[in-house]
Amino acid sequence: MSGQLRRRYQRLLFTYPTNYRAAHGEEILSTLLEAARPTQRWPSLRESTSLLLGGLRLRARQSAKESPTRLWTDGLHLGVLLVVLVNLGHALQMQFPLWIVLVAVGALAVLRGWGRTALAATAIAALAVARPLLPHIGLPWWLPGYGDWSAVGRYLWPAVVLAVLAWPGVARLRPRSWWWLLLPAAQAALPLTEQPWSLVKAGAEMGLLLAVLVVAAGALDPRPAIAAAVYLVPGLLYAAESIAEGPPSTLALGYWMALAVLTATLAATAWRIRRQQLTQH
Amino acid sequence: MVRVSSSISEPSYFILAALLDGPLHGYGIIKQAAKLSDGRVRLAAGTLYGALDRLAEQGLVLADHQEVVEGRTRRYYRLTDPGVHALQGEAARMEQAARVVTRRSGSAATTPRLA
Repeated sequence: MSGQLRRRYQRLLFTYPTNYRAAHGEEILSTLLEAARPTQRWPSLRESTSLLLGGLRLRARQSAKESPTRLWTDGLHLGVLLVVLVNLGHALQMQFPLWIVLVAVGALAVLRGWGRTALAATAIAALAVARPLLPHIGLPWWLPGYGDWSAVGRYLWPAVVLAVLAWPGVARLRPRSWWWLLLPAAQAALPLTEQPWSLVKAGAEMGLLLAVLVVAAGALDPRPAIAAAVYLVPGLLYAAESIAEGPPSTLALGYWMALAVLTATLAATAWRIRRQQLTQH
Repeated sequence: MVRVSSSISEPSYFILAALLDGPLHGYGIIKQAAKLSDGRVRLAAGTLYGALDRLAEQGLVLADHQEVVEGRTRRYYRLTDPGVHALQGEAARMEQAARVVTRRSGSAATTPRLA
């Protein structure tokens, strides 16, 4: 009983920043378990709400103490991580082993915060996929090539963001959790380009982005909003190219328009949060 | 939630009051705050630790010592001298604020109404 309840409360504590959890997690869990009824198996609504709000408030306070450079670095880093992980998921579905290695090296370097290695690997990948559009560059047999700019953009965009992050004076990249690797693994395992998985993916993406908006606004932290905006850029490039090539389906148009509105809202939210933080301190 | 002053919220006031008799751990504070407020202040853990964090940052409480009881970690908190002063100041302010109303409502109740 107590073990189950403990695990459930432990999950709720994930709303708190890692450093706070390390210092106070055990203590809070003990208090929660002492306050629980002897037969209780599920966290009460009152305690759950209080933990969620407490975690968000603490994140807001910690975020307000961070420098703007740190916030931008973390936000851009998280956004670029999402893009390279999705690219890795795509690569894993292809028949180019060396290409998979190149994209995986880039993704791992972004994940662990090795900025220069990540920039080198993603820049090579971007150049490689752009070969059909740049005829004078030789075509190594072990790399796939794309003939459309939106696909190239998916690889070029992370290289651009990483080049910004490699600029002198930008804060150091923080290593991210290995758990992120579940994202490309799931993407490679599920047929996401086929129905109904593509709809499930689109729905999950929308739901997550809306959740990011709520969390960012609740925690007064612009980082999730910056990250989500970075993640959405390749999708918007693809939408722009699809529209330029011919009239897209109503469903596709609705989806891309919703993404565009979300991107704009995320950017505005990040801006508003930072202004709010500056006026509070 | 009623705010008892511009700086100390009602939960924080009762957390400080709970620590007046000596150091207490998280659950001890929850029970003592409920008892002192006649069951009105029921602190959830998220609220308690958020408030303790702010009070510690303001120098009003301090983590005193830690012990493990039946495999559970208990950290005890105690009031600092500025904490005692802040609490006494808040109590005096509320007493004075309460007098302003209770004195006048007492006389209003005894004054006959004019038609």
